[in-house]
This record gives sequence, C-alpha cells and structure tokens, in this order.
Amino acid sequence: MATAVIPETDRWSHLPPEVKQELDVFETELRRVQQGLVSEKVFLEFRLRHGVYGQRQPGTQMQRIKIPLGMLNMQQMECLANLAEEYADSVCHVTTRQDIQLHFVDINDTPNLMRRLAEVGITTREACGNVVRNVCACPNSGVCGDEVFDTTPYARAMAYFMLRHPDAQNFGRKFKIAFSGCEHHPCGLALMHDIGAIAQIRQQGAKLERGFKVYVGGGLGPLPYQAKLYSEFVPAAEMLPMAQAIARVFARLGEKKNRGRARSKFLVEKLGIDEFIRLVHEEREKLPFDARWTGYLAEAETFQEKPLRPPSSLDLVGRSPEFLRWMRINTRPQRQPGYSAVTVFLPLGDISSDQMRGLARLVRQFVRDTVRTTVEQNLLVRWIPTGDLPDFYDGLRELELAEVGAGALADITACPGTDSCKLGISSSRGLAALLHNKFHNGLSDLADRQDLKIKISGCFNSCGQHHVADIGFFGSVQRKGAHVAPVFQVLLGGQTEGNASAYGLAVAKVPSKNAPAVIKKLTDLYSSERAGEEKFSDFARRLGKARIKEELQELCALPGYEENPEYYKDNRQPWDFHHSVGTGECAGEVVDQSEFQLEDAGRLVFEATLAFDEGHHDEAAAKAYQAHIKAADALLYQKGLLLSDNYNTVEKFRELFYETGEFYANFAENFLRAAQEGSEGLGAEKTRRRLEEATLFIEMAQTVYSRMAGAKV
Amino acid sequence: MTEVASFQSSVVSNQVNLQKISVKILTDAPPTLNLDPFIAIFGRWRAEADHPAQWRDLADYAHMPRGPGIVLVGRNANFSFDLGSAAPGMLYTSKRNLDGTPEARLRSVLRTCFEMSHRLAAEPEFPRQVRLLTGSLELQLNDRLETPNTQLTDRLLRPAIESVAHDLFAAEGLDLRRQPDPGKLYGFSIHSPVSPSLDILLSRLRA
Repeated sequence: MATAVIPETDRWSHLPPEVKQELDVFETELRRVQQGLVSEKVFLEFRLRHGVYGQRQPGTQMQRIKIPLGMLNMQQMECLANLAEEYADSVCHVTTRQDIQLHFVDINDTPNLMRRLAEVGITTREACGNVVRNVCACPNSGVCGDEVFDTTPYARAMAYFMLRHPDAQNFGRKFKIAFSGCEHHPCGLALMHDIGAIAQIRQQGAKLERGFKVYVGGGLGPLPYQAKLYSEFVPAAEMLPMAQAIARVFARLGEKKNRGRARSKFLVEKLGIDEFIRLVHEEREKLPFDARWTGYLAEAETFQEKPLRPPSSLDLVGRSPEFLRWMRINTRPQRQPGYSAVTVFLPLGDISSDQMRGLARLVRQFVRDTVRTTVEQNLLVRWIPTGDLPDFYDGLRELELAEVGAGALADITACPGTDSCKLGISSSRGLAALLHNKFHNGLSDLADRQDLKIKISGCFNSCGQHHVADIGFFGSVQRKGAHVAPVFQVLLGGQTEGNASAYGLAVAKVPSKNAPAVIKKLTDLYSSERAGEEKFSDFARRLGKARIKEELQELCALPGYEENPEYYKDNRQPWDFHHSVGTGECAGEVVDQSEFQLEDAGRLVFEATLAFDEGHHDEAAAKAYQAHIKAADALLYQKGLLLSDNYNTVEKFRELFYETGEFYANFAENFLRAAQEGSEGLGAEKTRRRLEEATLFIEMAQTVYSRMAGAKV
Repeated sequence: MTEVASFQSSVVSNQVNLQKISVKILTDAPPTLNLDPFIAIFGRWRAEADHPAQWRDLADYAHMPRGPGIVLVGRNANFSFDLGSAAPGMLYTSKRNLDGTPEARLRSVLRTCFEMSHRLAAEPEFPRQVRLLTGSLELQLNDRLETPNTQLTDRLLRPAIESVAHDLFAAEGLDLRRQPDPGKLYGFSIHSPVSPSLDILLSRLRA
C-alpha cells in the first residue's frame, strides 16, 4: 500500500492555484483508493474525468489529453513529446476527436504528467467520463475559403465554459460538441455530435449577425443517429446559455441506468425534438445570468490568427516530382493569398517523441502557434507562406514526416482496437497498418485516390467512425468448429461530406485477412462502373446491397482452421486469435453528483486531519468546514438545487434539512455553528472537535442521501 | 526552471531516484528493416508470466519511419527493436524497481539489456544480416523531473556513468559524449572503436 501524501508544495507552486489544487486532489484520491479509502466505482469515474482510462492490458493506463479544437502551440508539442518519452512508449497518438493519447502509462505517473501538462496550459480534465468531452472544430477554421466565418473563438469559448461546469457533471453518458465553419465540407462532422454547430450569418437590420445552425442528439456508437435540427439560427450570444440549458435537461432527464441508451440521442428521440426544444427553452429562462456567455464576443468578432512570415508565391518549374505530388495531396491554399495549410500525414495517427519535438522546432521557423490536430488523425500546419513550401517539405523529409497521402485513400482512420481498448474485438490498427503497408506495396496505384475514405473500428462502438466512411469496417468474430476467427463487417455509403450527412450500411462480413482484397475489389468496381462524377455513397446505393454482396461473395468465405490457420490470426498478430472482451470504460460509471460531493467531503476531512497533525489548525478547521459544505451541497442537489444557481448553502441547508427535521438536529447545529464561528484562531481543542463533527456530519449526510436516493428509485 | 529547482532539492537531500534508464545497442540494420520477425519473437516472449519485467503486451509501431519499432511493454521495463535515433537497435528501458547506488542501477540496467539482446540475437527469426554494434551504446536517463539535462545532473551522475563506461570499454578506448541539447534527455553516446561480444561486456560488468 502506498503511503498517503499531500504532494510537495514547492515544486508546483507556479501553477494556477485552482489547477494545482485540482491535481493535488487527484493525487490524494489516487493514494486513498490505493489504501482502500475510496470506492473503486467512484474512483473509476473520477479518474476518467481526468482522462485516465484503463487499458486492456491489466495495470496499464491510457492518458487522454484534451486538445480543445485541436489547437497546439510549439511549447505544448514539446511537452507532449517529452511526456510520451518519459511516461509512455514515445508515441503521441492523435485521436478521431482531436485529442492526444499516450498509452501504457503507469497510473502512479499520472499526477505529475498532468502537472507538467498544466505548465503549458493543457488539462486532461473531462477527457473521458460522463461529461462534455473535447470540443472539436474544423481544423481549417480561419483559413478555409468556404467558411462563413472563423468558428475558433466561439468553439474555444464553449470548450472552456463547459469545462468543469457544475451543470455538466451529472450526465448518464458522455456528451460531444463540434463546430463547423460551413455546411458542406467533411471537417467538422457536426451532425454526429450531441451538439453540432454550423456557422451562419444573418442580416439584422443594417447589421450582419453571427450565429449558428444548431443540431442536437447526434452520435455514432452501435446505433448511429443523425442529429436533429434544433434551430436554423442561434445567435452567437445565445450559444453558451443554450448549451448550459441543454446540459441541464440532459442531466435531469437523460437515462442513467441503461448505459446503452444514455446518450442524448436517445433522450431527444424519446421526447421528440419539439418537446426537447421546449424543455431547453424553459430551462434557458431559468438560468441565472453568467457574464461568460457574452464576455468573449467582442474579441471573437475581430479574432484572426497572425502569420509569422509575409505571404509569398511559388514557382513550380523545376520542382521534383516527389515535392509536386506531396504539394498536390498534402497542402491546400488558404483563403489568405500567399499562404498554404499543410497536412502532416501521420500513419495510424502516430507521431514519435523525436518527430514531435523536431516538428515543433521546424514549425517555429515558419509559423506562429497555429498547428491543429485533425479528426483524420493528422496534424495541420497553417500559415506557411506558399513560397516556403519547398523548405518546409525538406524539413519534414528530414523528420520522416513528408509521407504523401493526407486526405487520400491511404489516410485511414482507425481506433486503437485490441491494441489497447478493453472493448476491442479485432485489431483495427493491425488492419490499418496492413493496408498502410499495402498502399506502399501492392495497392500503390490506389493510395492517392481522394474520392474514397476508409475508417476502421475494432468493434461496433464506432470510435473509428466507420459509419461515416465510404468504406467502413468494424471488428467482429466468426466461429467455425472449435476455432474463432477475427472478421470485419463492411459498411458502405457513409459520408463525411456535409458534416457527416450519411451513415453507411453493413453489406458483408469478411475475414480480417481478406479486408485488403475487399478494398481492391470495391475500388476496381467503383472505377469501372462509376457514372460520371458519381460519389461512392451514391454509387453504392445505385448498385445495391445484393449486387455488392455478390461481388464480395468469394471474399466472405472463412476457410476451416485445418485448411488455412492464418485466417484464425488477426492482422499483424502471429498468434491464434483469442476473443476476449472486457468491460469498457467508455461508458464510465454513473456516479450521482451527490456521491462525488460526499466523496469530496471525505477527502477534505482526510486533508484536514493531515493539516491538524502538522499543527496547521486554521487550515484544518477551514477544510473541515468545507467538508460540511460539500456534504450539505450533496444533499441539496437531491432537492433539485444546482451549484450554478449560486444558492447559499448554509441558508438552504437550514431551510430544507434543519428546520424540516430531515437531518439529525445536533449534527446540523454543529454545522450552523461552524458557519458563524469561522475557522481562524479556534485552537487545537476546538479544531479537533470540528474535525470530529465534520466526520459525523458526513456520516449522517451519507445516511440521509441513501434514504433520499432510495426513495427516488 | 521548475524542474531544475526540484532537482536541486533532490541533490541537497541526496535522493536522486534513478528508475527510468534506457540503454540502446546500435546495429547496422537499415532503417527500412522489416520488423515482422520481432512481432513473432516478442509475441512468444510476452507470454512469459514470470519474467521480472512483467510483460503486458507488445506495441506494433512498424508503420512509423524512425519510430519505436516493435515494443515489448512491461510493467517494470520495456524492450524493443527501435528505429529511432541514433540508429536502429535493441533498446531496453527500465521503469521501476531499481535500487542501490546510481552506479549499481546503471550496471543492473546494462546487464539486463545485454542479456536480453543476447537472447534476441539468438532467436531463429532474428534477421541474420543485422549485426550488433556493441561498441556503440546510447544511454539515457528518462526522467526530466529527476534528472534534467543540466550541469547539476551531470556533476552528480557523471562519475557513476564514467565508471561503468570505463569498465566496459577502457580496454579498447572510449569516447563518451553527453547529449548537448538541454531539451533532450540527459544521456550519453558511448563509443568504442571495437565491438566486444555481449559475453565479454557482461563479464566486464561483473568484474
């Protein structure tokens, strides 16, 4: 058992106090769970809310790091590189929601890992768990020629407004938000989110007003739902209160018990979009004003990133064919003449520590802090003067980061699958790696095709976003006799364009080993029978499921184990396939907000005791009083009071629990007396008594909470 | 700055806790070496439940040019055929459970690295064309909080490092070069004009 510690104070004293406190609490809770002082269930959801996710391999963690809008500066890139090197396996993995993940992390390293991230302004808070996850945005925001306006400041305001927001702490499931600058491109994927916002401008008298077309209740997962239109136009000033009101409705009415139906998409479906909208409007009317709703707007109107170097043009004469191919596929001109945005293609979303550090150094020479992660698991470097592209390309080549393929068929999206995820069924990364290899060797004629997208998930849960691919795969199994083989369901006809406007349908189940042949077959078929400029999704629909299935028939057959045992091994895994699925942590644990608050109260008493033992009586008394407050808030939450209502805890507790006799009078009176007494200069004896009172108060609060929660069931 | 401050306090209290140490034996393998044989080898090794490294799984990064290659990940240590700098090679990284003086810990990590590399090179699938350059080692202390790449760290730890390197290569001549970039890990490139066998290096560590 580890010894419980209050972390050293000096080393991290430069962190913002509230951040330092949050991470100290995380470390204390980690030590407490290791000592058996906190329930595993509460700690599971608690650590998930700090981005610490248990891997498939026992005793190892994945650390998800929230990168709002995918925006990275050079200092952050260097920090991520260092942390991957010291705490993981020297690889930063870009996810399909613009996060960065480190794998094979020891949980004991996570507190310092988070503190070092905090030094460069990054939090892992709410990267996992039943909360608002990373807010995504089109990585081309601000430089795209087709956008209505730059959504960056609005998406960023949303991300930080919802982060730690008390109204977003009691969901039954995760909640995802995305912003897009336009209706048509595939970058924002707004329609597959719980809230999807697409930039709009309307004329208001003589003025142009910025706002968003808002969709709600979208999501992938085993049952994908297209988001439904909430409003054709929500003024920018109303976006944050709208999200807060939606969060309140979701927290209050969303499913909590049946985890498979707890996403907001099910709530919207159950209520109907009109009733959902009515409830949100009703909630909106009740919200107390928050200055943050509009505080950022004036600056947002004028927000624009600044380039480091002046614009320039490029003479293509005499350039190497390799450079020209790279330029054609991996770069695009910005809206601002003389500048280009460069996609650094990362196979399987992986970049090594050396490469990340080298890229930061390289990028620093050309641009300001304008790198973004993309949902296609790449990095986008914006504001490169077009005339500098050859030099930038040379720099990327030195780092082995000039691979061609961004946005092309070779640019495969894949979730971690059985490499690390407990829910993974088959190896999505194994298949992606195999295909990546084939696109260099055997299928190289297909690699540059930009009219098709492949996305792979290791199971039906769709973290690889297989529903919105032209050709999607998700992992499954097939038994033949005594043996089980990895297989993939093939989905066709999904679309990332139009903000993920169409979801694909399963057409066949193929052995994992045959997946590359399926790609070859389908691309050949598309090339030979495509009608004009027909999109693949339209082509697949026109051909029909029966015809496609017929075409793939020979690839669907699974030979017997004796006939070909290779089919019973997954891609890039030489051992026999073993079907083993654990309990995933995507869904986290539904922990009532009151439980969190009671746990927090217990932690405060624990810290108060340590302070008391060190002779810090005032600090001990203050913490013990805060413990009372937390426990009282836990009970008041059960009465429907929300922290964001800014109520007075002592007064409300007096009114709703003391005067009604719902709480044991003696213990309640101790609390009310402590509120009057303050926490300074009490002396050792009185402080010790307060600690004991706090402990008793929490015990009683637990009892009352159990009774109240039980009555609700 | 913070990291330096934290290390200074460690120096004062003489409690540098070296746990994360990596040693890489360079090879003459091309950076494009097919890594599939290592999947097969490490696929077998990972099943050894009683290994002190407590293997968890292997991580396949063969798709990354100059990447970590194929990594056998353990709770206490990782072992890989790594394509990163300075050249492809066998990389052993300890993560915990070291004890004794800094020098004792360095010796322990080097010993394990040599033993595992010896075993790897003897595996039937190991690419026969690949030769170990045992006179070219990369040593890194993989913990910027505990051992930032500063003069202070160097003052404290160089004697231990020099002592071990001297034991290994003094007979043939030794070139010890510290990583000059303060942004990178504290570490050394250790070069000797000849490449003694791993058995010889192991015997020199024991001596």
